[in-house]
Amino acid sequence: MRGLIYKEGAQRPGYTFFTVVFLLIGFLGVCVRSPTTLCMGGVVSSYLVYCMSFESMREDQESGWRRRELTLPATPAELVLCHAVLPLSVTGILLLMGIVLVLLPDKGDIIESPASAILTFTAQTVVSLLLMAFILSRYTSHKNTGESVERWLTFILFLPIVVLDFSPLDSIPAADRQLRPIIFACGAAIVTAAVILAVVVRYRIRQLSSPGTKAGPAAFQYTPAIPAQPAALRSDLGAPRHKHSPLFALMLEKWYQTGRSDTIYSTIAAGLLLIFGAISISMKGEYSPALAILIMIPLLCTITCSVAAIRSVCDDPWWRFQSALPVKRSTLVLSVYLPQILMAAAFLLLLVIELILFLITGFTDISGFTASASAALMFAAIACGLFNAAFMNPLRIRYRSRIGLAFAAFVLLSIEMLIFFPSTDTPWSFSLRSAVMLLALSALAFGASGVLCLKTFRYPEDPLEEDQ
Amino acid sequence: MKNAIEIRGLIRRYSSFTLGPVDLDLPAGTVLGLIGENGAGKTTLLRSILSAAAADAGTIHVMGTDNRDPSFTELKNRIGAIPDAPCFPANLSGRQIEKIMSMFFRDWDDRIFNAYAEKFRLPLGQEFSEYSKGTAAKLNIACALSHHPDLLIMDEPTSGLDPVVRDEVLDVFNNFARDENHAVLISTHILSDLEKICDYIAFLHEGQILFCQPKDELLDSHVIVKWDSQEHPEIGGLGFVTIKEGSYGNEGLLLRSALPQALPPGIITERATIEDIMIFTARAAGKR
Repeated sequence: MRGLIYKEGAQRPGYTFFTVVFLLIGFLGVCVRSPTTLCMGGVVSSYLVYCMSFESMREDQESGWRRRELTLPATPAELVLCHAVLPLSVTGILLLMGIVLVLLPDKGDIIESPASAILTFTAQTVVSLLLMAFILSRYTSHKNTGESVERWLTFILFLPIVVLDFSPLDSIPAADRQLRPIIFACGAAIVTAAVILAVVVRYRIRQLSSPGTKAGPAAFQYTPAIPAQPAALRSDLGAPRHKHSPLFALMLEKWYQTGRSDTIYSTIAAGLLLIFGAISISMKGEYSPALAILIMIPLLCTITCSVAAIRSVCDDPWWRFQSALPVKRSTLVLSVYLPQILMAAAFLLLLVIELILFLITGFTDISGFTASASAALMFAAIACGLFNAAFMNPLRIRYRSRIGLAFAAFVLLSIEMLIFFPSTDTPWSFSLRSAVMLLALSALAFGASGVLCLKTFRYPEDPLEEDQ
Repeated sequence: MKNAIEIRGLIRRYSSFTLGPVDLDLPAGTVLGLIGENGAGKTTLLRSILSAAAADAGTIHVMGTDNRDPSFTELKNRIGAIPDAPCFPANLSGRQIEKIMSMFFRDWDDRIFNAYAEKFRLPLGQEFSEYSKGTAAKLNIACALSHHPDLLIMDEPTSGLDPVVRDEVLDVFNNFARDENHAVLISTHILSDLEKICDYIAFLHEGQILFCQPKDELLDSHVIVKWDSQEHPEIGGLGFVTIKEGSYGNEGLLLRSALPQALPPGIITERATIEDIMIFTARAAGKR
């Protein structure tokens, strides 16, 4: 079954390369006994392999490769195993490295040593540069797939928190430290909004201005079905045949289509986080974990919103036909923007509420907060992915598996609450135990969710084909 | 080995559709064309043969092996399958796709693949997403033929190809079928292709095989009759499979054995094509 493993690697050379790079960074962490470095390399490589599996799975389904697999000389069990090899092996390697690090002597001293701090800082710089190069290269050579954009937006937003969290905070003035998460949250939201706007505008303009390219054949370009006529003549045509206004109809279609897979269910995930946050506040009277979650919500929702917007433009075959509809161009454009504008306004409101909450309650333990934030964001990203997987239409996942995935997402969120925010008396600090726990959990979560997603496909059968 | 494929009592149920019960044989050394309307069950039947869709009842033996048997996986080394769409990862080049396929099949032969690549002028350095529909179909065919298969199972293999390339591809299938150990099962809507290469024709209608006959026998045994119903109303009583009534006259499919020796003047008889037989038979089945 080397063929499948080769295929996964050849299909996603960037992911493969960077997964190896981050695994090596993790290995370096073990060599110098720096749990921070191991954790950083481990979390990122886990995330990459998770994305890799998820993207491959989706593309295999869309390209029909999974149907071809069934004609190959391999059993379904072998096929599933081959797809799971990468996430499983990365998970295994990371867990092994974590165990080795725990078993090594004198680990406590090294964490606080200047050498470890310098190494961590260097590793972070290298990692950031590599990532930036990778993201830029992917973006420029990109084939407009919303799925990839989603992954990378999540990654862009997720990684700085990890980097910020693991940086040697002691050298930063306390006042600055308090502000950093808020600055980051606002900055990330603004950057994301700018990216959404840039991408949407770019593709929308291109599609509207270049007949016969992205928008489909020239024959499908917009032409008014009813030419401009005097009002009196128009009235002879009688009442409009459509029940709703064209704008409403288009928005309905957009919400129905993109909302099913992204907006609604990711927002449900975000809503669950909000509930957890509220419970946490009311039960413990403490703020740091809850705030972490609350700050994460606009980020998560903004990602979700951006995905919906980008998909609606980039990946939507319906768009080809929209340009043939008897509506004005301005209506078409507005139908895409209006939901995003409304969502953005709602999220901005959320952010303001959070800022007020932050100022009222205040908090002092910034490292506990950032650690919580990163952990929460990571788990939320997984949960979001699971929710998405559970409800994504093109994936043709069995009903039971959908429930399983949704349940898994829910369990992950529960674990997040139970493990990462157990005590409010002693601020959650970044110790070896926590680092290894975080690493183990993230590796397990990413690995398990990757495998779970792969297994939820209909092997050996697809539902009834359109053409039997 | 007498039959390359033997299907007995195959039933596959879906909520809105049931395939079968189907009984079908593909004799070794022959080409069987599977025809039928959209949604008749052709793809399901082909996928059932490849054990990609589990049967609710019945058995399928491929080259003597039950397709539920674990050894069937190994047998796939001797089957060249062409799905209805090329189904390759979009961002891989033709060369990478070849490499992947070569890792799956025990008897993969690079020389054969390269020969087909040259014959079909495949741009192996290009990404699959850049292939035209026809080029993608040709890569699909090259991949199916490069591991010395004994049986070809093809779902719309010539769909999207221009007539010149289609003819080229049909020659390839014809050459393949010349070996008496080889067999081909092909499903297509391009019925003229079947007339060129098939030995047998099976017609699948709403999940049921309406007929499966040698092609020449099928074509020889049917005739199209055209007449004016006003002038010759008695012709309608000849026992047609079904009659198509038009404003310029009637047209019907008739078994040649039911055709009278002498016909009144003004009545035209024509050789029936596979398309005629399929259309009239489907209409007759619809009326029942």
